[in-house]
Amino acid sequence: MKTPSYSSIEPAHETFQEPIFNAPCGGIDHRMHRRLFLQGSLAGAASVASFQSLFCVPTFADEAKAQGKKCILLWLCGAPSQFETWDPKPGRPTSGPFGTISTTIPGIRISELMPKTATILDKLTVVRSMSTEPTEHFQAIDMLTRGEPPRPPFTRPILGSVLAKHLGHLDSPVPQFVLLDPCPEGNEFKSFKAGNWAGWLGAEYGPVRFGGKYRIENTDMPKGMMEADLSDREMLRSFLSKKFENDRKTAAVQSYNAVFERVKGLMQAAPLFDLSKLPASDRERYGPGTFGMHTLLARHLIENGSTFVMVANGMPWDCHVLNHETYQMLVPELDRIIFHLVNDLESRGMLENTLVLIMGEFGRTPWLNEARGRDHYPNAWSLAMAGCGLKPGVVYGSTDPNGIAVSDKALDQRRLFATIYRALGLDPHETYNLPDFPTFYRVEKNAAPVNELLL
Amino acid sequence: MFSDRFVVCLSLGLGLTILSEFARSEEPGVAKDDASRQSIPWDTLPSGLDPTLVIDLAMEDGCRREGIQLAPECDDTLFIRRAYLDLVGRVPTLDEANSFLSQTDSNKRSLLIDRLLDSEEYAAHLAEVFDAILIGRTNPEQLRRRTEAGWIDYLQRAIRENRPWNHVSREILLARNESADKQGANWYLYARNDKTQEIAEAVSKDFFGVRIDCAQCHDHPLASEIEQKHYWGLVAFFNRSKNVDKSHKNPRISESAIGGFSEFANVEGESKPNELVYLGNRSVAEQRPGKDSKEEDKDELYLDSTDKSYRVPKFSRREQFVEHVLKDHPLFAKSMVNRMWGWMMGRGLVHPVDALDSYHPASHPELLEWLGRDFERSGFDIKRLIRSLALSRTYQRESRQMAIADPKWFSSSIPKPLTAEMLHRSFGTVLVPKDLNSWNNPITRQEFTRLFPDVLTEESMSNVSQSLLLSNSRILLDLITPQNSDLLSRLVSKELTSEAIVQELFRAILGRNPEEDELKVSAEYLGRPHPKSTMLIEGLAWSLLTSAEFRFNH
Repeated sequence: MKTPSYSSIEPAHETFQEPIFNAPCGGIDHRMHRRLFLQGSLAGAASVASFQSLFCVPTFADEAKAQGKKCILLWLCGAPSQFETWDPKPGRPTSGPFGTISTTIPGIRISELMPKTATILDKLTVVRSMSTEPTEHFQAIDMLTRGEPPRPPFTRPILGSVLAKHLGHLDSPVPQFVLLDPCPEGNEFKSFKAGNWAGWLGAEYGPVRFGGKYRIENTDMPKGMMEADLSDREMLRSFLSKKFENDRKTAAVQSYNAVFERVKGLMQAAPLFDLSKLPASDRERYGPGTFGMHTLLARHLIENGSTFVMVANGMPWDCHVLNHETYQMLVPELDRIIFHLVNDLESRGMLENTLVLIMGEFGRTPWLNEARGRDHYPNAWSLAMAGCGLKPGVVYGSTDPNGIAVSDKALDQRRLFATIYRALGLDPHETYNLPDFPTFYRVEKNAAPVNELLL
Repeated sequence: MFSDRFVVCLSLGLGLTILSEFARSEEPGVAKDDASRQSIPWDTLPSGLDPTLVIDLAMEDGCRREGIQLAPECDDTLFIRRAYLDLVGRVPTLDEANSFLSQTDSNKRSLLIDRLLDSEEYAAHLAEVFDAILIGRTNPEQLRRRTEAGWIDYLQRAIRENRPWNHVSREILLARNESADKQGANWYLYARNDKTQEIAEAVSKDFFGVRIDCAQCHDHPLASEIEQKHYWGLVAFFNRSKNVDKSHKNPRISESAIGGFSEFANVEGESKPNELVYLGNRSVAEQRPGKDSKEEDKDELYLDSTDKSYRVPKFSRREQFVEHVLKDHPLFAKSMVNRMWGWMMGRGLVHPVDALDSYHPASHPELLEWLGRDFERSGFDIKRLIRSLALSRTYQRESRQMAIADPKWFSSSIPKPLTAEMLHRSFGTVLVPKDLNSWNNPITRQEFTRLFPDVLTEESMSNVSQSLLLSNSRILLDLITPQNSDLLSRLVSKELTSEAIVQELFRAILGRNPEEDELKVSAEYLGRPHPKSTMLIEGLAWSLLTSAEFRFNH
């Protein structure tokens, strides 16, 4: 076997050129490999601008716009009630105390807790006929973010990892899959977060987590070091580590190496995560509250080159007690956030390429328990989407008068995922060809996308 | 593929007559390819067998039936690193490694395990691990309080003296600190500041291996044996207890003889009394006062005590719990076995380690049962348990995977990320700080405990905060300098070739020689022109210290 020399660790079929980050997207130039960049500096063949000067927001933004499709997932963790949002049942025993209001879609009414969204419902796509199986958070979160129930020891990637791989640009300094996470704790969601998100795609497609306790620190260049010192050192580290990883492809080992691949990009992109750099008026519109701030940040990251941003919302929607009192606070906040996000994306010309998903892992029971809470209910629930590839102003499916069962066009998670992938321009039935693995499909069982929802 | 005959050979090799008798009763020379057949006679397996042997038989039997190839035994350099990390919480020094490698005794692994288990470092390390499991990681200020309260000393003493786990558990939950040698035992409960639900959730997890949290509102939806009444019953066992002396000078937990009766409501709205009951329907009878009667708190309800700072009732719910629930509870031994298995092997027989419920079946249920009974028979001997695990072939396999296999079969050693404490200590071990105190202190350690995973996490995925810390934080980078590291200053003071430097750094940091390509690439790195050549040595040291090979216990 040929012993690699330091300068031949990576194939040298492209020559180093600069600048690297404002190259046109999608072309071979854009895919200028990070490692080639390192290699160039290593050979001392090119002088390289400092990290900070390579970074500038407009460059990222221009590039991002020219790039393909993106996705923001407002993850309403804990599972929101369909009755107090998209599928109210006024006058029925299952209804809560809240009324309904008309929307910009003739004949469609939603909860009065969502007055702002009602004025833009014609830009949204609502599904009122979700019907799934898992009744507990962990299992349902797992399934509704991956699209399939588990089949150990194989771990299917989370939607965000699939999009980061197939729509994203791994070499971009901006992280492609960001999880904005206000609350690192939170029962089932905590153990879910501890899991393996990127699955068989490999840890490099896992999320960069930020928010709550997860601040991004240590993004400044260490004193006394030059950019080339960092790059060379990391290249050596990576070479030594990959040898180790090749024989031990566990998710934990792979994720360790993957997070080092992110260091340089994050050092450049760190200012993107600084909300104080955004206009005060933006912060006022989305805020107060972490959910709003994180949604604003999601918009900003998508604008600047991230492919998938998941805004996780703690577990507040899991209202086993005092459903109405809690929803009276939660839903108006969600209403405001949806309104501004969709409008902002539209006014920036980004909505047609950005898919917004607004959902949790199931719905809530039509009946109240004695604690006046609504319990878990996967049988019939709602979600909303907007943008990219979806037909706006569609309300799909329906439930019976009491919202106990789906009466028309039941949708399971496979068809939902097939629709999401198709909307984003990805083939839902593509196979994953992995050595030593059974054949997996992006969406299993040949589940068909819902054409009525698609442009 | 392993055959029965191989298992037979192994058992014979270990001189186990009973199992070989069993094995010999098989027809000789007949291929055993009925893969699903259970080949270990669990029902008739005699007690008193060496647990190490039973572990290996169970694991090898499992892999054989699954058709999974076993990884080979790891070599001595891997073994010594693994044993040091697991048993004393750091990598070995170069001298320690060299001394072990030069030994020719065929028994040397076993001797090393015994030496480590008898060392003071073992007590300090395992106490640190137990502290993280039982109360949780903390900041330097809280750590000082735990230390002042005697908790850390208590744990260290318990481990140093290898006190039976049932005795230690009893003292922790009785929490009376009734003699000097039990000083500090009550900090487990005291630290939770009278938050009785928190106490119940912790007790269930720590002493029974069961997460009971979600039964607060309803019976466990997926594990039907965990009922809501168990949650509130467990709360009731501790709800008469109250911290006294808030100044923490002499932390005591007083217990009332009355009160603590309430009702809990399920999601259907039915109210039920919080009776003294826990999992397995272990219950304690207690007279509940009538609806309108008022209990009277009288001196005669309490034991006389010279120490008036806290009260001990004649009917103590805590004591009742210890005597009638904890004692001989089937989950008590199994949960400790599963936890230490998880610690040594990288995941529990039940995974995650604190999910010993019907929804999480064990990968090797008979083995877990057997080891639980064996642990109990041994007098809840933690050191013996760890030793049995460390001596096994299962523990001593290579971490290189032969093929994709579910980790629950333990066909290869599972690479475990070093805990934050191990990582911090190991950086110090190999770099040898000139000023030891500037590295070995709680504040520096906290920089790592803040960002690196806790002990026994379910799955340990890295995050960018960690790579950014290791890449850019001065905390680590300052130590990787000739000014502050004895290793590096010795290296730069000698006139060495690049190759020699590479070799020395590999041996000091990874405990092995570089392979040919590693030597070449690293020497080239050192050989490139740089205005400050020591920075290249620092860079190589950094690359090794942050390599996946160093980051994992493999």
